[in-house]
Amino acid sequence: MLSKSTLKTFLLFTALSLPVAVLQSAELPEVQLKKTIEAVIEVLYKVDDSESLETKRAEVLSVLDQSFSFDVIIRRTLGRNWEKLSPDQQNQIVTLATDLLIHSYTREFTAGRKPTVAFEKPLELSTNKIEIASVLSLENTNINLTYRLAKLESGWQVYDLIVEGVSLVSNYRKQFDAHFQKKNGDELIDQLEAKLDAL
Amino acid sequence: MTSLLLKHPFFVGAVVLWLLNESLVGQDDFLSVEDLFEDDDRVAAETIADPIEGFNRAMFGFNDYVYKKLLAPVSKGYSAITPDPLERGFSNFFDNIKYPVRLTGNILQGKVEGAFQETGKFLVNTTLGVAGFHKASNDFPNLNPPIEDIGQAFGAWGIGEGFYIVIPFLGPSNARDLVGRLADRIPDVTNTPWTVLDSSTDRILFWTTDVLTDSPALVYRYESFTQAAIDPYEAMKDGFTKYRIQQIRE
Repeated sequence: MLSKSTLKTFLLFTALSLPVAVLQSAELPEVQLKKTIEAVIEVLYKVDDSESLETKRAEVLSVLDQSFSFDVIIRRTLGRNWEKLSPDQQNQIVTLATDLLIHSYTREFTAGRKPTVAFEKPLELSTNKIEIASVLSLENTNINLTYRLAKLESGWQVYDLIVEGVSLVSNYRKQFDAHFQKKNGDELIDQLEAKLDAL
Repeated sequence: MTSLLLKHPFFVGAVVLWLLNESLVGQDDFLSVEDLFEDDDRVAAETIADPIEGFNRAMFGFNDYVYKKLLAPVSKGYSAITPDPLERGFSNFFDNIKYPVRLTGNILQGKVEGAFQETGKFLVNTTLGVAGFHKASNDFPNLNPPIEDIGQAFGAWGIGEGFYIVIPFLGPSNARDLVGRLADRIPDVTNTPWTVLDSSTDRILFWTTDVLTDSPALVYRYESFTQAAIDPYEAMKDGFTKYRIQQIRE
């Protein structure tokens, strides 16, 4: 029979351990990101190469969706111009711009032999925001890619990508700002569609 | 406090547990999507000085034509007929011979470690790497310093970038880096007065070969960049400026 004090100590220890166990059960953001990027490379460098690049891109998008919040990324690139668009235009632009980004992102990964990626430790930017630097080693060159992640209700999600010091969100925002100085949302949709057709 | 702990250990433990839980619950908070659209999303992006935008856009169009219609076909032909190891070898050779420029960039910024690393890299690649054709320094993790040039040294000294300028054939730059590019020619061993190449014909042939060996990577990067851009001119201007800021920061 347990003594009263032993029982209390046992209960206290168990209660203290609970929240720690709950926290440990959630996957660390760096682990999740690493898995996602490695899965993308696996899709693009499958041994069975019978799949078309289009099929691979669709697979890449579904893999990236686990760690990348494209809705947030595209909306951030539009910045203040987001409010100038109708809900229908917003949806169309998010879909088209995501397609364009996937094309661009996968192209970087498909130059020559299968690349390797080395990740650094996460750096806390502010509460619930971190960045994880990585080096993508391609056949002839290394590319510095830094992922910025935020903890959203759905988990840790990438909300910006920094390529060699250039923020993807900031770079596209410059372009969209220039576009909306002279043109409108429909013209942007036409332009995005023309871009995708030409790829 | 000690007597409280001795008399009521369970009560003290419960308080500690409650405090710990509060702090863990705090950490477990998440951001709403709206939190990510910070104030800077609502305002215009910061501008880069571009007083000669008309000229720059014309030069951008000219360079775009040169890259896509002239350089890309030549580059693809060169890649097609040159075996990959030989292609890499030529590229390594021309990279190795630019050592004095990188060394000067390091020295002017007072980067002693970088200067030593560059020198070590040059010696290893010139000897073990057979005149620089093989990048033997890749086997030595400490011999991979960031690439430095004189424009970066100017930036490190606090000189502002000045206005944006697109140089015919060479691409994006700014007032500070344009002067830096000219200064880079001083320690370049292929230029006068130090040149190891006797005639101007030899020098032109040498520079042409240098551009050709770099062209596959250059064309690939250029195509990637412009294909994904809505406004390639604005994308390049922002990309170049931020890239140089990053290089100077390093």
